[in-house]
Amino acid sequence: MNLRKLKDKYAIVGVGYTPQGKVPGRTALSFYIEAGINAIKDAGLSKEDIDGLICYRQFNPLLNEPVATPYLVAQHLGIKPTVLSQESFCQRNQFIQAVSLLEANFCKNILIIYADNAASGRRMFIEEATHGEPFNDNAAYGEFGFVGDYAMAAQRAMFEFSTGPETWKHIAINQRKWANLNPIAQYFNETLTEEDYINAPLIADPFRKYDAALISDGGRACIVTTVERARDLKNPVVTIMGLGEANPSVDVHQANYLAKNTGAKQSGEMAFKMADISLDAIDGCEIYDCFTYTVEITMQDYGFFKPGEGVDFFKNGATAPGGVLPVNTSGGLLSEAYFMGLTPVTEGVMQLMGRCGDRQLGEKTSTKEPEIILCCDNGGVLQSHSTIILRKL
Amino acid sequence: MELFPVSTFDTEIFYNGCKEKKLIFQKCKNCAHIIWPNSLFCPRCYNNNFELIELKGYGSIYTFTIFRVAFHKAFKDKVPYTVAIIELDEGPKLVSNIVDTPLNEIKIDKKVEVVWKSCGNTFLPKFKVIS
Repeated sequence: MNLRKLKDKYAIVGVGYTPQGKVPGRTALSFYIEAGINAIKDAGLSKEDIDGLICYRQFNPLLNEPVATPYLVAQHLGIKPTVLSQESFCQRNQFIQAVSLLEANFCKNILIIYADNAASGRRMFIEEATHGEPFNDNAAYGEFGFVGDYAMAAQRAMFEFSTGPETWKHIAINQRKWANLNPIAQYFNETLTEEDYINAPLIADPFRKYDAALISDGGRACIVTTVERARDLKNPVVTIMGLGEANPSVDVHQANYLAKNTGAKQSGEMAFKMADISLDAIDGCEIYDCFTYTVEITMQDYGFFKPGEGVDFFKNGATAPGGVLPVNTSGGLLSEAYFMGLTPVTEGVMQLMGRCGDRQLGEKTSTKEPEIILCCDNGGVLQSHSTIILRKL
Repeated sequence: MELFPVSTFDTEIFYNGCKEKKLIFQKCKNCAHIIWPNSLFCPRCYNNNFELIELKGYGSIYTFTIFRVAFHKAFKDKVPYTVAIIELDEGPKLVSNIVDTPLNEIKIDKKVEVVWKSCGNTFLPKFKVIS
């Protein structure tokens, strides 16, 4: 599979934000529409230009509101795209799908959106749960999904190599320092110390409160098109330099990847091969961080450090503002807001466009001026992984 | 309240065994793979002829977590409780609970044996640490 012909051929030309955090009274659909419209405006496009719409997975609505289907999103955006798509179960192929559709000429400008009202609707994730009736037999054992599943993966990691809270605390704290520079981050006004981290209650061993992603209201969107068209639009050109994807697929309860590599390894190799670069070309990372552990295992599988050496990699603020390799510069899912893979990807785009204010990579944060940023997304419980390497032309 | 597993076309092989406190699994007659979860076909060789075998109920803790928070009202009075992946000696990995064991004795690789616990009108295989 020679993907090199796709290198730097497609670009992300606009991003859409909404009010985020806890924004009571809003439907998931309303955030979809607001994020989508803002991305179209940000790109300097009009709605008639959008001929592909790809929505992320939508969990069932918790409140009295319609499911935010892609039909409904398209209807409210007033568009009739050639291709309309929504993934069902976290298999994270939005960008590989967008590039494929553009490459085959089915579409010209593709809008990718995720939104939810998870905070106001009290979506089950990490805090006190309001879970609908369980959907599989594991509930009979009190096993309800993401938190317990990732906790068991992390517990096995602690057995396989040297890791644990002493490593993860650095990840949580470094990201919080980025969030403290980002006014729209949910934890903008709250600092995090080692004592705060360790003294926070255990939720599901070995995870404490600050090991887990936030729950957010809001939406996020971006638009993918050709570099050719991107050059005529108003934003600086940020290309998709490399793309990778891997789907180990096996349910975490039967998986052997807890003791070996996750999909990040194969996906990373594919993306770096397409981009024709090595790890040392990366100026910053936006890593999908549903849990602190996910950042560690992903970067370990990408090859940034050997198994068990994460604690040395992340310590002394190495990935915080002023650090040698900035990681999750918006605060990430842990400290900014949860919009699935669009939290990392849109932050990578914003950094390369130079639109990040006090957290801007470069002189402002005593970090390297960024040219290439590594982003990734992860679905299911380590069952799906995608890698997106972005570059400022 | 209690939550119950729901037997399906695929999984009734396992749950019918549970009713009799037996760990019944499908073993592929072609490649000898003991498959789990239950399926109509062997994922290794696509054969669909199986013999049903009873596993002995011994294994080890592959990994676990201790839930400190109830994610469903049925578990409000049960925290803290342990969910574990049990690697049975014959190969399959089962999600279950560690029971009848002090929390500080629950560690990866510890040997366990099955303990059948009632659940509605059937039984579920749970596991306790053995020395």
